[in-house]
Amino acid sequence: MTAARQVAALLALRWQMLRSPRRRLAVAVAAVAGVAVVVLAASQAATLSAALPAVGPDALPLLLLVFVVVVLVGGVASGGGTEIVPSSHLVAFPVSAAAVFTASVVVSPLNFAWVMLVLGLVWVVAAAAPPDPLLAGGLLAGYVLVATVLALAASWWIVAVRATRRGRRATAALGLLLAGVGVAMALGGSLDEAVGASPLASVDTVLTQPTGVGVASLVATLALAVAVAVPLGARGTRAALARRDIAALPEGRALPRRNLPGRELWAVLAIDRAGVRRSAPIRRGLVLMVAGPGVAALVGGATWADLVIVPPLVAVGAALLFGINVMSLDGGGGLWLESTPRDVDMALLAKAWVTGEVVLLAVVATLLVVTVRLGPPPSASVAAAVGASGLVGVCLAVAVALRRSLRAPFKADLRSLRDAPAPPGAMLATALRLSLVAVVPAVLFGVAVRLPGVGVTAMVTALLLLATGGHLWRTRRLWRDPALRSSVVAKISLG
Amino acid sequence: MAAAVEVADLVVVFGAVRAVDGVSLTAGPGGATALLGSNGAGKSTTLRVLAGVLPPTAGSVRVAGVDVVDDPYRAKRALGYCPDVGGLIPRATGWEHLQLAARLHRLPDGWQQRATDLLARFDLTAAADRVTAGYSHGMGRRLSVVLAAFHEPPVLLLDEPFDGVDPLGVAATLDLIAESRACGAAVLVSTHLLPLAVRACPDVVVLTSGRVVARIPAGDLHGTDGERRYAELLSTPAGEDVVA
Repeated sequence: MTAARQVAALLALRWQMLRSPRRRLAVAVAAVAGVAVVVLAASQAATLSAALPAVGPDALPLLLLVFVVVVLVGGVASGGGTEIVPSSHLVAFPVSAAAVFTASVVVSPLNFAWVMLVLGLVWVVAAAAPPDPLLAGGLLAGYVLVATVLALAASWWIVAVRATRRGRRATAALGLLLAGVGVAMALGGSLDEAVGASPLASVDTVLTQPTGVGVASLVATLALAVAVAVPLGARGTRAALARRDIAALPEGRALPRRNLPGRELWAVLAIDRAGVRRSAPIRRGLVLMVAGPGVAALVGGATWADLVIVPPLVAVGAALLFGINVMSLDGGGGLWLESTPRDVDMALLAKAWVTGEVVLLAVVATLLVVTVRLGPPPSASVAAAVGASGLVGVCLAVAVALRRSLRAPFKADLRSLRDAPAPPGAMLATALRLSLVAVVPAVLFGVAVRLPGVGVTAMVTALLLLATGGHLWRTRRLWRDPALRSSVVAKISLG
Repeated sequence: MAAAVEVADLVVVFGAVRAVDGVSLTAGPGGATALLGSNGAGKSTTLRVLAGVLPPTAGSVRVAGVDVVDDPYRAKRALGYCPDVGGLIPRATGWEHLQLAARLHRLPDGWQQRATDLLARFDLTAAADRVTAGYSHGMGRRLSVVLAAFHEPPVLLLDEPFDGVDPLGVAATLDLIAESRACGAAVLVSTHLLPLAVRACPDVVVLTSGRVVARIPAGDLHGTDGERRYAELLSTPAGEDVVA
């Protein structure tokens, strides 16, 4: 009960930290909108499944597995799970490990991947037209809760084991082995068969064709699983929190001295690059950003023409690593830097540049993985569409992220794996916003690639680059306002 | 002699709060002024405006004869600023901070010797190549002071330079202030530590609730009597006549 009370207190604190009534209203509206989207996905499932047969009811067992894997990998990548309030702000308070674990479960819905997968599950279960939709919905909610608790309990234990050098190597090797086996089974066509023979198939049956006995046994299994997972997760969290995060930069170690470039822009850029390179959560996020779409491309049956939508999505995903709050790279140094005679435009250009480099790296790496699977693009027009989609995706992601950085700056340490560039709610809102932005080039290039020649691709590219340029220009004007700059610097430096 | 720092009728408003409410002060070359006052008196806000970090709501602020609002670039070339909190880029090393400062202030080659000397004086040589996120609070304060004074600016703004700093660091900071003054720099020091303020600065300005309530020689605040007088000044309602 203490854990529940502490989590309630942390949630209340987070709510109080939303100072303006407008923000509180926005959060309330977002919560209602989220429920509305779930209901809409359920009610329109049949229509949607007709349009996209690949994610029909047959995909349910695999989707149930993917949900667990994504929550587990996301938990490990974020050092256990997301926090309601950063632990660095709570050092003076006796927050228990059980509360930290419970908080990571409670905050899970504020994760973009979690939301999308739950929507997918709702859609697929509804598309199977279960006889009692309300019962099916309740059972699915139970599965989602238990799968989240189990996956996060496992992720906290993995984080605890990874805090030792030997454990780090062992878990990395095991992870690579499992990923390799999964990819090999998917390529060999035996993954669906294996999932069909697993207990997930029974969950699928109960969700879509519930019987009295089936429902009772599923409910009992889920209740037992959660009863075991909660104390286990709390113990794993305690073990993880008690050990030093060796993935973080060893801050007591002297780094090799190197000369910064002579020109001011390159010197500032070198410092910003170091800020990215030396941040454990950014490094880890970048690896996952490339690995996720890469694995999907390897195991999926998509063609180059289908993959033209991928670069903008990867680009906005990479921008979420730090680009949406890129000024926070300066941390407390923002106040000092603002007092130095640096060119205002140069400071913004350096931040745009470093964001662009990371986003470009993610897009290029993903396309290279795709090339391994599919070989080179089949025609010049497809290659042009993919290249243009990548270029526009990178520019768009940088432009939108830069604007967010000025409009919604946060103090973010980006030091431990549990650090994120923004609070969980703001991360989700920004991820949704960026996804909507990425849909525009994805759809336009998706159409252009199916048309003969490169004329439409060129036109779409020119139009989107022009729009992006305008967006960047307006962001520059915003940054040149001393009052706004001062407010950004104060927020990233002082919180 | 022209003032190196001129603040006239400065007002800074944050929403409904008047953080600085009509502050005026001057500091000449070679002089040092301590800004004293209780929490929230407006000391740090005043220094932030002088450093060009925060735009004023009203009033004028000139540094080395340059208006901070009209020509912030030239003003910032003439000043060195140690902020009250943080002030360091978390994943850059101490040496990288000094290199960046040298680039941004366009220091001629040879700055390395001064950087090395300052690091040694502030006992930071061993930590120079570590990222500042791993520094203790006192080490961070010391490096912030070094960065402010590194390019030998004609105006040195130090906000809480003694906060959490060990006695050797305090002595090094006091020496640096004296040296800067000897070189003709105007120094403004904001601090809560009265004994150090009166050791570092011959002049004192006391603020309460965003207003100046006293401009007095530091000698008037020495010893136990000085402490008593300072306590009386802190309880002076803003708006009463300025004690001079």
